[in-house]
This record gives sequence, structure tokens and C-alpha cells, in this order.
Amino acid sequence: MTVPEPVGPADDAQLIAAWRAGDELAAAELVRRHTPALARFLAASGAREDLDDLVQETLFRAFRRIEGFRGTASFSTWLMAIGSNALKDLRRRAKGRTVVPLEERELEAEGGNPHALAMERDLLGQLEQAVRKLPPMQRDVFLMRAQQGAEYGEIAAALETSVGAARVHYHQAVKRLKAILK
Amino acid sequence: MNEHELERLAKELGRAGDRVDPDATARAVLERLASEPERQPAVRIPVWTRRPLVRVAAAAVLVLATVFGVQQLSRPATAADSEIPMMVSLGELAAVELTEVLDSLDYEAPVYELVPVALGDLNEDELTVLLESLEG
Repeated sequence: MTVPEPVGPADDAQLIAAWRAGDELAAAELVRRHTPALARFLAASGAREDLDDLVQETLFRAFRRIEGFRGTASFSTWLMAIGSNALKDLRRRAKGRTVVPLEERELEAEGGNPHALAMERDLLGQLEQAVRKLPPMQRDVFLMRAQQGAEYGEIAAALETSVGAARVHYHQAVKRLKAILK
Repeated sequence: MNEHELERLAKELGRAGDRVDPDATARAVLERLASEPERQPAVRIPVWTRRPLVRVAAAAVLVLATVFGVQQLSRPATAADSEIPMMVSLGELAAVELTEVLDSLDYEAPVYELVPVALGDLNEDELTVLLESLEG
């Protein structure tokens, strides 16, 4: 199957409306647009060698249930909430299988001091492990906010919770991460 | 580590995700959407219409009906058996037959004296009694 060529600039709402009307170009553009952030979110949440499958599964689920997207959260944040559920399902199915060790992180070499870079890499590895130990809700809120820069309002809408609860989850996550990393 | 440092590092998390190819993902997702038909919401079949349950229920009814029938046949006839109610309209009975029915029920019909009386025919005491009876 050939991938439809990228379409011109259109916002997510227009693309979603076009996909609802059966336009595959619009769906392909949405995938291209949101795959990088979604993949990073899922990788940080603990997806490993199954990352490609998980990203595809998330997007497939999202397009299948696009009628459920009300626009109260951004499409990107909504995708992450679906991705988090897909990851949970995968974990449930894979329970009892061998745990794959942490893969080597590929920090972009931006020049600078090799010692500082090594320390940064080490810190990042610790943070990644610590994030994976968070309860799922705290992890999702923390990553949506700190990694993706989402507002509390859209995090709350995507995770079907209140803004106040999202704030509490975030601060609990930060507190816990600080305690692990100190 | 302060919160600002934590948020700065958090933006670097999930670098492994950078290797996911958006074009290949788009291709795979569109293929799957095209090849897997949309599932219709499952129609819930009421429990009682499920075939094994219907069979069990039918068998239970048959067993109970058989047991009841056998009990009825094996029981000696009693006087009560003759009191099986019959669907007969009272309007179809003659006066003599109605009297027989009432006699068989040991029913004593109350005797009323139906005398047409207007309020104007009542004296003060009778009106008072009537009003009191209406007040309950």
C-alpha cells in the first residue's frame, strides 16, 4: 500500500473531520504529525522492542473510535491517553514473560564535556527507570505535562479526571521522583 | 534535583521513540484500517434465549408437570375435589338455582327495607344522625 502524499497545512480538527468523511490522506497526515511525540511518550512510559507495534495499535484504536474524540483535549494528548491504555493491555498480556533490560540510551551528542554528557546520560537513565516505577496515572500526568508540555485542563480531559486531581497527580509524581533521584 | 531540572530532563525522556518512522507507521495503520472491518457493537443476547438454558428450563417444566400430575392421580378423591370452581355466569341461573347456590354457601342475605326518603322527610334528629354518619 502506498502512503498518500502529505497534504497542505490544516489543523487537527480539519483533518479529523476529513478522516470522518473517509479521507485517507487526512489520516496519513495525522499519523505523520503525531507519531514522533506519541512514540516518545510511549518509550518513556516503558515501551521497548514493541514500540512500533504499540504506536500503530494506538493510532489504529484512535481512528476506530474517532467518534469518541470530543475535542476537549488536544488530539495529541488524547492519543497519549489511548497509548497508555494500549500499553497497559500489552503488559497484561505479557505478564510473566522475561523482562528486557534497559536499552542503551542514545543521547544526542551536542558536543561539550564528555564527563558531563556521561553524567547527564546516567541521570536520564535513572529518571527513566524512576518514571516507569510511578503509578500509571502519575506517570501519564507527569509525562504529558513535563515531557509533552500539555496544560492541566487538557490532561484532565484526556485522562477523564478533574484539573485538581491532575495537579495532585503531577505533584505526587514530582515528589516521588525527587525522592528516588536524590 | 529541583523541579525545573526534573522538567528539563523529562523532555529528554523517550529518545528511543525517535527511531519510529512516521511514514512507515502511516502505511501500516492505513493498511490495518483497510483490512480490518469495523466491528459492529456486539448485540447482547438475553440470557433466557440461550439455547442450553432454554432446554434446561423446558426439561424442568416437564419434570415438574409430570410429578404434579402423578401426585394428583395417585391421591384419593376428597369432598374438596367437587368444589372445583366453574365458570358459570350468575345471570344464566334461574331464581331457584341462585337460591340453591346461596343455601350451599350458608349465606344469609341481609334484609334491607328500601324505602325512598327525601331529605325534607327527615326530622332534626334524623338529619343529625345522617350528618354524623357522613362525618364518620
